[in-house]
Amino acid sequence: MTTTPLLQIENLQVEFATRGGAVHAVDGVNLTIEPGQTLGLVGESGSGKSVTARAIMRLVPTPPGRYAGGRILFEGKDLLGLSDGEMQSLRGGQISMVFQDPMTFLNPVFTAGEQVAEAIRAHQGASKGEARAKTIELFRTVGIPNAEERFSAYPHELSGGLRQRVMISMALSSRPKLLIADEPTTALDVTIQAQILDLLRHLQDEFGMSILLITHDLGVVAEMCDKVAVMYAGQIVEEASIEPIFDAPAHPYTSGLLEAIPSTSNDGAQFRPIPGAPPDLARLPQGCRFAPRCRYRQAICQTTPPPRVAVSPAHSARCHFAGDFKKNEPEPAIAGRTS
Amino acid sequence: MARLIITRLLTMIPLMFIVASVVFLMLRFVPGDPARIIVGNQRITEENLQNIRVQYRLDKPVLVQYGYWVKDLAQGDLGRSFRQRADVNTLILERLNVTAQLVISSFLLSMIISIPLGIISALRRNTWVDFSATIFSLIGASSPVYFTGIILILLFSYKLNWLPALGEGDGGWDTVKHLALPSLALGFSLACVTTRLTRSAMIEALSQDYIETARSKGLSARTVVMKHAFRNAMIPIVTVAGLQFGALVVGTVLIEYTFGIGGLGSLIVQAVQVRDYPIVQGATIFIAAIFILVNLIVDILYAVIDPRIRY
Repeated sequence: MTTTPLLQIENLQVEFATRGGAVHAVDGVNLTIEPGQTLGLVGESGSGKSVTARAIMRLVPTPPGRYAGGRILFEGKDLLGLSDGEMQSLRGGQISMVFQDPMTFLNPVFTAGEQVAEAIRAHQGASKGEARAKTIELFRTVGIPNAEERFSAYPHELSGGLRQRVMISMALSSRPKLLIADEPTTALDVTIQAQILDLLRHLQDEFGMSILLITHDLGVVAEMCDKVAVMYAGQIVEEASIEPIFDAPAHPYTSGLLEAIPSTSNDGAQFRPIPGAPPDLARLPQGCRFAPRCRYRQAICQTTPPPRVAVSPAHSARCHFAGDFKKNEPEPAIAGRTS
Repeated sequence: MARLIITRLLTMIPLMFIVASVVFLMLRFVPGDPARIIVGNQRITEENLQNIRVQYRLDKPVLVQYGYWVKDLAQGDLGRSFRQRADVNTLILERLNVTAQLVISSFLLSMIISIPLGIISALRRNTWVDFSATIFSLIGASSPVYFTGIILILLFSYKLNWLPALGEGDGGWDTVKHLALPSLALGFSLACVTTRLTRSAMIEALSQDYIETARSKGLSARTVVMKHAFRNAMIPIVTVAGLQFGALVVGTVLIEYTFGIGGLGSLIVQAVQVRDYPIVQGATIFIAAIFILVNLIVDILYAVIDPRIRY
């Protein structure tokens, strides 16, 4: 079966001009999302996952940002080559985005309904009345009670969960083919998080869209995604479908992330945080970017950047010892800071 | 909202009374005998002088004068001018018209210049447009209105002979021509502050998360800037515009003097010079009322702009 992927990112490079020179926030990222698929993009803050997401929407502020290379193919068209007008009609139309904090990402001075309705008017040329009716309909779809009244509620009058539902209804208003969800549950209460994830899954079935789910929560990935890509310091360090990642991570960083999850099922014995912090993107280590924090590092790791190694046809990792790094004697402890 | 308006209007009465009382008492401490100034350089006997004092109750102790003044005020009577034989009410209303035209046209001019300029500066940050706007603002903020006024007169009246330099005109187009330069001078000095403020408020608003949402919806750049950012930037702009409007009413004193316009400002200046107490007191009450009303309008606008503000 050969279908064109819905989204194919090839060797994407995004850099930011800083006083210390250009910083490569996204450095050679490759990603593929098939229609109807959910891809989890995992990483710490500053790993470049949000920049990657914004690059797909072409929302990276330029300057200081710059799309320095690569292609973002959406249904075969390179988004980086589109005119501003073409991109504008794609945004919120075929590709849409749900953001992290529904408080700050909704405009405080407009009603929830108006903010959804204006997206409908922009993309579907609907009249005010039609847009209003569609918005109320959408509010019902995403499970907002008293949808009609809530149309004229202001964001500060809604709870966090309702606000995120408003954001979701906004993103879905034109039935996008790709929904980018940037940490959609991070700012919410735990009980609400589960509801929102449930809603997203349910809506995905109903609308048949693909989802790029950005998160730092591997639990969310396990629950939601078909595939996962782990990002570290601007690069994808491991990519695979769900089971192999959780059962046999091929990259020490992924392994470290899994060990850093406090869990009741592994007797708490394995709970081990990754020491140190991600490297300063302006002063990257010479070899592997993760080497300064890696328990399994060898001499080669500190001198030579690792290639992408395929451990199985659908599982690759950027590590000199991909798949069998555990053979290396772990260092007992690694000095904390790297930068 | 209705409660806000009613309470504000009710507190307006004691507030204006206090302001007027302070001015009343301050004037009594200003050196100079009004009776002598009223007479001017004419030779006059001490007896006649005393008659004038009696006529205007200037022979009574200050507190008694105050009592009479309060009694008249309660009936809406601001008294009679010492110098010009007319009611203060009439005199002020005559002059208020020109001043109001001047204030409103300067204010509108300032907004028309500063808001677009501030928005463009914010959008084109650190480009030559932004730098030019900054220089424009600095010049305006550091030149007094009478200086700007004189420069405008030299340029447009003296050199180019396009516009009249003095007076308030005879109504209609003539008034427009006469008020153009003073409005420009006043408007320019205000525009500078508002330009800087609009710029920073827009930069602030444009950096907010909801702007990213607006863009991600596929709205046009114009809608993102003018609807989503500007609506939020308006709150500080309205605050300052309100303060400026109040300051303008006072600021016209200088500009009316520079351009020889017979407005409220020049009426007050003349009245102070000749110790015409009733005019100064009456005009102060009018200006206080304008200040209070403008503040009320600003507060109402807050609630209109920002739904989080409720009274």
